[in-house]
Amino acid sequence: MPFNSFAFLYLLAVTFVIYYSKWFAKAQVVVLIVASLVFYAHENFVLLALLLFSAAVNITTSYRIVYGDPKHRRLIAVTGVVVNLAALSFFKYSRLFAHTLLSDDSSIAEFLINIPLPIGISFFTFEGISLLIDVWKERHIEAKKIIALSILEHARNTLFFISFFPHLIAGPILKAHDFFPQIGTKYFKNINWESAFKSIVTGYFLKMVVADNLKNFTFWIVYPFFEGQSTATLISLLFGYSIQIFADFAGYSLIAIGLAKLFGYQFQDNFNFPYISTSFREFWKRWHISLSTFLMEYLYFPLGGNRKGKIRTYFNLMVTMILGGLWHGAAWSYAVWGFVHGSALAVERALSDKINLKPRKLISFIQGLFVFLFVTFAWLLFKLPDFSHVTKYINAIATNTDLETNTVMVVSILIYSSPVVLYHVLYLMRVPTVVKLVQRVSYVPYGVMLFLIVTNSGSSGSFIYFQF
Amino acid sequence: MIKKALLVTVVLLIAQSLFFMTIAKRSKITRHQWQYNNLIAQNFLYGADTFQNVIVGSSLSQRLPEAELPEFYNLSFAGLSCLDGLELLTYKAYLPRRVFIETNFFTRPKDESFTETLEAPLLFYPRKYVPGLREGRQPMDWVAIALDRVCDRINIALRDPNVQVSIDTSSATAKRRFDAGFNVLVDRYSKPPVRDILDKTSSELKTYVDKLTAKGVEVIFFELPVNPKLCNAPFATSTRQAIESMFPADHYKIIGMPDCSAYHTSDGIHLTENEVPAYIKYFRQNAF
Repeated sequence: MPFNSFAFLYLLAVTFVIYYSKWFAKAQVVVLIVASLVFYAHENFVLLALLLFSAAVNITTSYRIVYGDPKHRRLIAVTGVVVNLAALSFFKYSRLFAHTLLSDDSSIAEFLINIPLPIGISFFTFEGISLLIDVWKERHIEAKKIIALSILEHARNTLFFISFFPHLIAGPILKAHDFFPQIGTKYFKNINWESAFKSIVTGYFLKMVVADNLKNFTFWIVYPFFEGQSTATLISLLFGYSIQIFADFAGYSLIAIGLAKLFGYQFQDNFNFPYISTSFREFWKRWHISLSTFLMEYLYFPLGGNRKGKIRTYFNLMVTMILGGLWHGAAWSYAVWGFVHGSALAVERALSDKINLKPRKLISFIQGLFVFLFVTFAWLLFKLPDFSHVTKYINAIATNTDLETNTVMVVSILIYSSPVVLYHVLYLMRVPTVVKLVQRVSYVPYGVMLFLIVTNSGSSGSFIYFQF
Repeated sequence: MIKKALLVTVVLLIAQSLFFMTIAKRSKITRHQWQYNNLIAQNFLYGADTFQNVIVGSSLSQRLPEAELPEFYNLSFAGLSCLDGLELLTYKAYLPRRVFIETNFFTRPKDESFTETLEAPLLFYPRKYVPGLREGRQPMDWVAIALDRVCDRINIALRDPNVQVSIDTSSATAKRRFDAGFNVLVDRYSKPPVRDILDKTSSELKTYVDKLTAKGVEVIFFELPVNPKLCNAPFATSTRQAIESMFPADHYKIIGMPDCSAYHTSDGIHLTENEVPAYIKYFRQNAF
């Protein structure tokens, strides 16, 4: 059930009223669990079984890690992680396995190819793993503080953690040590309305006005349609897609953050002006923060991080990024996308040891431009999972100089990208007097955004990150 | 802060509505095919009560200009099929005298999200009474139009009047570009439609047609000419056979496809602008 559907608005309104009514004050978590299950089952009722299975695995294993025999803690934790990853692999990567290793007409391949991809599986699997590792390692919090002694209470809390609808199908990926301590009774009077309003309005604006309008142009980045477009048009399409993917996902995350606030919960920010980054390292600290911090805490550091020498550091970076790429989708192009980013991070790290550039504005600008262009071209691997189409697109950029530029398309892309560009530029400039003025009249941009949501939304499209 | 923001929104909405109710009453702009689809659909839903003939179909029929078919309302949608047009016709409960159904791509499943956003009560009624909310009135597109004009002026100013801009359509690069698209079509036409989809869309089409004919509407089927290499390819023949078996010629009027080799298309399936008048002449001769 997407956030931009009417069914969702009805569900939200009903849930909100019940949640804060005095009759349900003691069953608030249950109310949200029921609403979340309805939210998830709306598209495909059968797949609810997988969500419940995942929750059951994480409930029992996390409970056993904390209250079971201490000698078996490690074994139970590892088993739990393996079961989570096995379920993810089976549902998400069987198709890739079948296409790569089996003949398409074999019965096994047919079976594997037809396995449905449960929406949100990549997100709730990682959340389950976060719970198991947090209670096993106890790096961030004492396990007994988040795992209730009563198994029923623990089951309720864990199911809530995994299924809470704002983050269920496209994140942000929650970490158990951040979320569990927040579970408790919430009061209507404590809602931070202004903060929730700002997140929700900005989120819907980014999704419905920016991303959904850009989508109507960037759909031309499909073979063979792009073959007939000029070089300038192809470059602006790519630029538009870069802005679209940001607006789509950052929009979703902001809506999720705002909705969680309505119910008294805080999610971590998921984007922090990623396109102003002047290095790849910085980009990954600003883009999809909940995933990059997850990969850092639960994969890169356990692999040894940068503590085992240079070569091992580069290797760890590559492994983390390739797996991070594959997390996005079951196609080799995603692994290549991860490899490309991993290589950029490794090369940048190697160079930064040898070259020490003075922090000058012009140098920072050139670095920022380079990172943006690199990241933007790498998005082609997201949009065109077939490699041959990626090379054809790049070839078309090089050869279609004779064709006339589609001014309508280029201008439209510029117009619909401008809010995101402005958003980044204003943050980058940060002139104190302007910041003060904007803060004083902050209701104006929010009023304008709301007006544009009502009058200027593009045709409704599903969120890009749903496929992951 | 929230109240003030809402107030700004309301003021802007009122200003925009007044603008479109007074100064730019008839102005509507579209910048891509999906917007154009919405515009056609909304113009039909909120008006178009006088047309006796309605055409439903895909982008192939959308190229038949209303100027040359003034007594027709062309409810065809690029990227969609006749089923979407029939859905809107049913939703509006409008009964023209004749409905012309383009069958080339009737096997393209109905786009539920397209019709749902047009029919959802939460959107339908506000748009009905506040014309500023309808397609073609998006404020950012109006800004884009202004920027288009600036770009055009710059282009004209920069263009050397002594240099004629021409695209060599016979070059190897041009051939590569055409072949890229055409080969995809040849591949698509080389297989009949997927059985399940054919059955589902056939059943939906039959339901719509039965409803219309039961209410006295005459239903006429037609198929637009495509590239001769595609004309009798498995996809086209299967689609044709499905129509002929569902709607036998002794009960329904079918405007057969003319000789494909007599027409030129821009990409294999869409008639070029120059060919449209010839087809319209053929269409008129057989329609009534």
